Amino acid sequence: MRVAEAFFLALIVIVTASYAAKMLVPPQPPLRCLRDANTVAAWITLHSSRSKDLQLLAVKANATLQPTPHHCVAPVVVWVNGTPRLYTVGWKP
Amino acid sequence: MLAAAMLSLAVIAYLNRVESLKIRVTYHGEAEWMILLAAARHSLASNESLDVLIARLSSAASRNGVWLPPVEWNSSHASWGGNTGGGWAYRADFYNTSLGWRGYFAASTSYVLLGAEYDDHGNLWLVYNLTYLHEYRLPQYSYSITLHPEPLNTTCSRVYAAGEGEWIAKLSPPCTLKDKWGIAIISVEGG
Repeated sequence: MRVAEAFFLALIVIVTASYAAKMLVPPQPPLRCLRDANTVAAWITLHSSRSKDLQLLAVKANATLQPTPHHCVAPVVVWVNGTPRLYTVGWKP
Repeated sequence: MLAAAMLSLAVIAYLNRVESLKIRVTYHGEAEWMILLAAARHSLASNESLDVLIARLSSAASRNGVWLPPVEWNSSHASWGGNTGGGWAYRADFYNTSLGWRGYFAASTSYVLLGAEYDDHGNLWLVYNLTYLHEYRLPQYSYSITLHPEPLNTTCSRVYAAGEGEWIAKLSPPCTLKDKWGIAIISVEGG
Protein backbone atom coordinates (compact mmCIF):
# COMPACT_ATOMS: atom_id res chain seq x y z
CA MET A 1 0.00 0.00 0.00
CA ARG A 2 2.81 2.36 0.89
CA VAL A 3 4.50 1.64 -2.43
CA ALA A 4 1.28 2.52 -4.30
CA GLU A 5 0.92 5.74 -2.28
CA ALA A 6 4.51 6.70 -2.99
CA PHE A 7 4.03 5.94 -6.69
CA PHE A 8 0.90 8.09 -7.00
CA LEU A 9 2.49 10.86 -4.94
CA ALA A 10 5.54 10.88 -7.21
CA LEU A 11 3.26 10.87 -10.26
CA ILE A 12 1.33 13.88 -8.94
CA VAL A 13 4.56 15.75 -8.18
CA ILE A 14 5.98 15.02 -11.65
CA VAL A 15 2.79 16.11 -13.44
CA THR A 16 2.52 19.27 -11.33
CA ALA A 17 6.18 20.14 -11.85
CA SER A 18 5.97 19.60 -15.60
CA TYR A 19 2.93 21.89 -15.81
CA ALA A 20 4.70 24.49 -13.71
CA ALA A 21 7.82 24.37 -15.88
CA LYS A 22 5.75 24.75 -19.02
CA MET A 23 3.71 27.66 -17.71
CA LEU A 24 6.50 29.69 -16.19
CA VAL A 25 8.38 30.39 -19.43
CA PRO A 26 9.43 34.07 -19.20
CA PRO A 27 7.95 36.47 -21.77
CA GLN A 28 10.09 37.64 -24.68
CA PRO A 29 11.97 40.81 -23.77
CA PRO A 30 10.62 43.94 -25.50
CA LEU A 31 14.09 44.90 -26.72
CA ARG A 32 13.64 42.44 -29.56
CA CYS A 33 11.49 45.16 -31.13
CA LEU A 34 14.36 47.65 -31.22
CA ARG A 35 15.57 48.66 -34.65
CA ASP A 36 19.21 49.16 -35.41
CA ALA A 37 20.63 52.38 -36.84
CA ASN A 38 20.33 51.20 -40.45
CA THR A 39 16.69 50.39 -40.19
CA VAL A 40 16.01 53.58 -38.24
CA ALA A 41 17.34 55.44 -41.27
CA ALA A 42 14.66 53.70 -43.32
CA TRP A 43 12.18 54.31 -40.52
CA ILE A 44 12.73 58.06 -40.81
CA THR A 45 11.35 58.02 -44.32
CA LEU A 46 8.19 56.27 -43.14
CA HIS A 47 7.03 59.50 -41.59
CA SER A 48 5.76 61.16 -44.69
CA SER A 49 3.48 63.90 -45.89
CA ARG A 50 1.76 61.57 -48.35
CA SER A 51 -0.05 58.46 -47.18
CA LYS A 52 0.63 56.59 -50.43
CA ASP A 53 4.35 56.95 -49.66
CA LEU A 54 3.76 55.22 -46.35
CA GLN A 55 2.53 52.06 -48.04
CA LEU A 56 5.49 52.00 -50.44
CA LEU A 57 8.11 52.81 -47.83
CA ALA A 58 6.69 50.36 -45.32
CA VAL A 59 7.50 47.61 -47.81
CA LYS A 60 11.04 48.95 -48.25
CA ALA A 61 11.54 49.00 -44.47
CA ASN A 62 10.33 45.39 -44.25
CA ALA A 63 7.25 46.53 -42.36
CA THR A 64 3.55 46.36 -43.06
CA LEU A 65 0.50 48.47 -42.29
CA GLN A 66 -1.43 45.35 -41.28
CA PRO A 67 0.41 43.95 -38.29
CA THR A 68 -0.13 40.26 -37.67
CA PRO A 69 0.18 38.62 -34.24
CA HIS A 70 3.67 38.51 -32.73
CA HIS A 71 4.89 41.39 -34.85
CA CYS A 72 6.47 44.42 -33.26
CA VAL A 73 4.30 47.48 -33.76
CA ALA A 74 4.98 51.21 -33.69
CA PRO A 75 3.04 54.35 -34.54
CA VAL A 76 3.86 56.39 -37.64
CA VAL A 77 2.52 59.85 -38.47
CA VAL A 78 1.49 61.17 -41.85
CA TRP A 79 0.79 64.91 -42.10
CA VAL A 80 -2.06 65.76 -44.46
CA ASN A 81 -2.83 69.48 -44.87
CA GLY A 82 -1.42 70.21 -41.42
CA THR A 83 -3.40 67.42 -39.76
CA PRO A 84 -1.57 64.44 -38.27
CA ARG A 85 -2.85 60.98 -39.16
CA LEU A 86 -1.46 58.18 -37.05
CA TYR A 87 -0.95 54.69 -38.44
CA THR A 88 0.32 51.53 -36.84
CA VAL A 89 3.14 49.77 -38.62
CA GLY A 90 4.15 46.21 -37.78
CA TRP A 91 7.29 44.26 -38.57
CA LYS A 92 8.95 40.98 -37.76
CA PRO A 93 11.93 41.33 -35.40
CA MET B 1 -2.41 11.46 -0.70
CA LEU B 2 -5.79 13.10 -1.25
CA ALA B 3 -4.44 16.29 0.29
CA ALA B 4 -1.41 16.18 -2.01
CA ALA B 5 -3.65 15.62 -5.02
CA MET B 6 -5.90 18.55 -4.07
CA LEU B 7 -2.92 20.77 -3.43
CA SER B 8 -1.41 19.95 -6.83
CA LEU B 9 -4.74 20.64 -8.52
CA ALA B 10 -4.87 23.99 -6.75
CA VAL B 11 -1.32 24.78 -7.88
CA ILE B 12 -2.18 23.88 -11.49
CA ALA B 13 -5.34 26.01 -11.36
CA TYR B 14 -3.36 28.95 -9.95
CA LEU B 15 -0.66 28.63 -12.61
CA ASN B 16 -3.32 28.48 -15.28
CA ARG B 17 -4.74 31.73 -13.97
CA VAL B 18 -1.34 33.39 -13.85
CA GLU B 19 -0.60 32.18 -17.39
CA SER B 20 -3.89 33.56 -18.68
CA LEU B 21 -2.98 37.02 -17.31
CA LYS B 22 -0.79 37.90 -20.31
CA ILE B 23 1.96 40.28 -19.39
CA ARG B 24 1.91 43.03 -22.01
CA VAL B 25 5.15 44.95 -22.16
CA THR B 26 5.02 47.89 -24.53
CA TYR B 27 8.25 49.37 -25.75
CA HIS B 28 8.35 53.08 -26.54
CA GLY B 29 11.39 54.36 -28.34
CA GLU B 30 12.62 55.51 -31.70
CA ALA B 31 9.27 55.48 -33.47
CA GLU B 32 7.65 57.80 -30.93
CA TRP B 33 10.62 60.15 -31.03
CA MET B 34 10.50 60.11 -34.81
CA ILE B 35 6.89 61.31 -34.62
CA LEU B 36 8.19 64.45 -32.88
CA LEU B 37 11.05 64.93 -35.33
CA ALA B 38 8.65 64.42 -38.24
CA ALA B 39 6.44 67.16 -36.78
CA ALA B 40 9.46 69.50 -36.82
CA ARG B 41 10.19 68.50 -40.40
CA HIS B 42 6.59 69.22 -41.35
CA SER B 43 6.80 72.57 -39.57
CA LEU B 44 9.78 73.47 -41.76
CA ALA B 45 7.96 72.31 -44.90
CA SER B 46 4.65 73.99 -44.17
CA ASN B 47 5.86 77.12 -42.32
CA GLU B 48 3.32 76.31 -39.62
CA SER B 49 4.33 76.91 -36.02
CA LEU B 50 5.88 73.90 -34.32
CA ASP B 51 3.85 74.73 -31.20
CA VAL B 52 0.61 74.47 -33.18
CA LEU B 53 1.63 71.22 -34.87
CA ILE B 54 2.71 69.63 -31.58
CA ALA B 55 -0.62 70.63 -30.02
CA ARG B 56 -2.49 68.94 -32.90
CA LEU B 57 -0.20 65.94 -32.66
CA SER B 58 -0.71 65.58 -28.90
CA SER B 59 -4.45 65.71 -29.39
CA ALA B 60 -4.36 63.07 -32.14
CA ALA B 61 -2.02 60.88 -30.10
CA SER B 62 -4.33 61.10 -27.11
CA ARG B 63 -7.34 60.09 -29.24
CA ASN B 64 -5.43 57.15 -30.73
CA GLY B 65 -3.83 55.97 -27.50
CA VAL B 66 -0.32 56.75 -28.76
CA TRP B 67 2.32 57.59 -26.18
CA LEU B 68 4.52 60.60 -26.89
CA PRO B 69 7.69 61.42 -24.97
CA PRO B 70 7.08 64.15 -22.35
CA VAL B 71 9.36 66.84 -23.73
CA GLU B 72 9.78 70.54 -24.20
CA TRP B 73 10.99 71.96 -27.47
CA ASN B 74 12.35 75.01 -29.24
CA SER B 75 13.16 75.73 -32.84
CA SER B 76 15.19 78.20 -34.84
CA HIS B 77 15.34 79.16 -38.48
CA ALA B 78 17.88 81.40 -40.16
CA SER B 79 18.36 82.26 -43.81
CA TRP B 80 20.75 84.45 -45.75
CA GLY B 81 21.63 85.48 -49.29
CA GLY B 82 19.51 85.71 -52.42
CA ASN B 83 19.47 84.58 -56.05
CA THR B 84 23.25 84.65 -56.41
CA GLY B 85 23.89 82.45 -53.39
CA GLY B 86 22.89 81.85 -49.83
CA GLY B 87 21.33 79.24 -47.64
CA TRP B 88 19.30 78.51 -44.56
CA ALA B 89 19.50 76.42 -41.43
CA TYR B 90 16.68 75.00 -39.34
CA ARG B 91 16.88 73.17 -36.06
CA ALA B 92 14.26 71.89 -33.61
CA ASP B 93 15.36 70.50 -30.25
CA PHE B 94 13.22 68.24 -28.07
CA TYR B 95 14.36 67.66 -24.53
CA ASN B 96 13.45 66.60 -21.04
CA THR B 97 16.19 67.83 -18.73
CA SER B 98 15.00 65.93 -15.67
CA LEU B 99 15.06 62.63 -17.58
CA GLY B 100 18.17 63.52 -19.57
CA TRP B 101 16.49 63.05 -22.94
CA ARG B 102 17.53 65.08 -25.96
CA GLY B 103 16.81 64.72 -29.64
CA TYR B 104 16.72 67.08 -32.57
CA PHE B 105 15.93 67.52 -36.22
CA ALA B 106 18.18 69.82 -38.21
CA ALA B 107 18.23 70.68 -41.88
CA SER B 108 20.45 73.04 -43.80
CA THR B 109 21.31 74.06 -47.30
CA SER B 110 23.74 76.36 -49.01
CA TYR B 111 23.95 77.26 -52.66
CA VAL B 112 26.16 79.25 -54.97
CA LEU B 113 25.22 80.54 -58.41
CA LEU B 114 27.61 79.06 -60.95
CA GLY B 115 26.15 80.73 -64.02
CA ALA B 116 23.16 81.14 -66.28
CA GLU B 117 22.11 79.70 -69.60
CA TYR B 118 19.21 79.89 -72.05
CA ASP B 119 17.44 76.89 -73.52
CA ASP B 120 16.19 76.55 -77.11
CA HIS B 121 12.93 78.24 -76.15
CA GLY B 122 14.70 81.29 -74.73
CA ASN B 123 14.01 80.38 -71.11
CA LEU B 124 16.59 81.49 -68.57
CA TRP B 125 18.09 78.76 -66.36
CA LEU B 126 20.17 79.63 -63.32
CA VAL B 127 22.75 76.97 -62.45
CA TYR B 128 23.55 76.42 -58.78
CA ASN B 129 25.94 74.28 -56.80
CA LEU B 130 23.85 73.04 -53.89
CA THR B 131 24.46 71.18 -50.65
CA TYR B 132 21.49 69.91 -48.67
CA LEU B 133 21.27 67.64 -45.63
CA HIS B 134 19.04 66.47 -42.80
CA GLU B 135 20.17 65.36 -39.37
CA TYR B 136 18.08 63.23 -37.04
CA ARG B 137 19.23 62.69 -33.47
CA LEU B 138 17.33 60.26 -31.28
CA PRO B 139 18.16 59.91 -27.58
CA GLN B 140 18.40 56.12 -28.06
CA TYR B 141 21.59 56.59 -30.09
CA SER B 142 24.81 58.40 -29.33
CA TYR B 143 25.11 59.75 -32.86
CA SER B 144 22.90 61.52 -35.38
CA ILE B 145 21.65 59.99 -38.61
CA THR B 146 22.39 62.12 -41.64
CA LEU B 147 20.30 61.94 -44.79
CA HIS B 148 20.87 63.66 -48.11
CA PRO B 149 17.36 64.01 -49.53
CA GLU B 150 17.19 64.37 -53.28
CA PRO B 151 15.63 67.61 -54.54
CA LEU B 152 12.76 66.95 -56.93
CA ASN B 153 12.76 67.63 -60.64
CA THR B 154 9.84 69.77 -61.77
CA THR B 155 8.97 71.75 -64.88
CA CYS B 156 11.18 74.60 -63.60
CA SER B 157 13.97 72.58 -61.96
CA ARG B 158 16.56 70.05 -63.12
CA VAL B 159 18.76 68.37 -60.53
CA TYR B 160 21.97 66.38 -61.07
CA ALA B 161 23.93 64.52 -58.38
CA ALA B 162 27.42 65.94 -57.81
CA GLY B 163 28.49 64.01 -54.71
CA GLU B 164 27.13 62.98 -51.33
CA GLY B 165 24.59 65.66 -50.48
CA GLU B 166 25.84 67.84 -53.34
CA TRP B 167 23.80 68.71 -56.38
CA ILE B 168 23.91 70.81 -59.50
CA ALA B 169 20.49 72.43 -59.73
CA LYS B 170 19.20 74.30 -62.74
CA LEU B 171 16.26 76.54 -62.01
CA SER B 172 14.16 78.57 -64.42
CA PRO B 173 12.84 81.53 -62.38
CA PRO B 174 10.45 81.97 -60.74
CA CYS B 175 10.98 78.56 -59.20
CA THR B 176 11.05 76.80 -55.83
CA LEU B 177 13.13 73.66 -55.52
CA LYS B 178 11.57 71.22 -53.04
CA ASP B 179 12.25 67.80 -51.59
CA LYS B 180 9.77 64.96 -51.18
CA TRP B 181 8.50 66.35 -47.87
CA GLY B 182 7.68 69.71 -49.44
CA ILE B 183 10.61 71.57 -47.87
CA ALA B 184 11.61 74.55 -50.02
CA ILE B 185 15.35 74.22 -50.62
CA ILE B 186 15.88 77.19 -52.96
CA SER B 187 13.41 79.81 -54.07
CA VAL B 188 14.43 82.07 -56.92
CA GLU B 189 12.41 85.08 -57.89
CA GLY B 190 12.01 86.86 -61.19
CA GLY B 191 11.17 85.60 -64.62
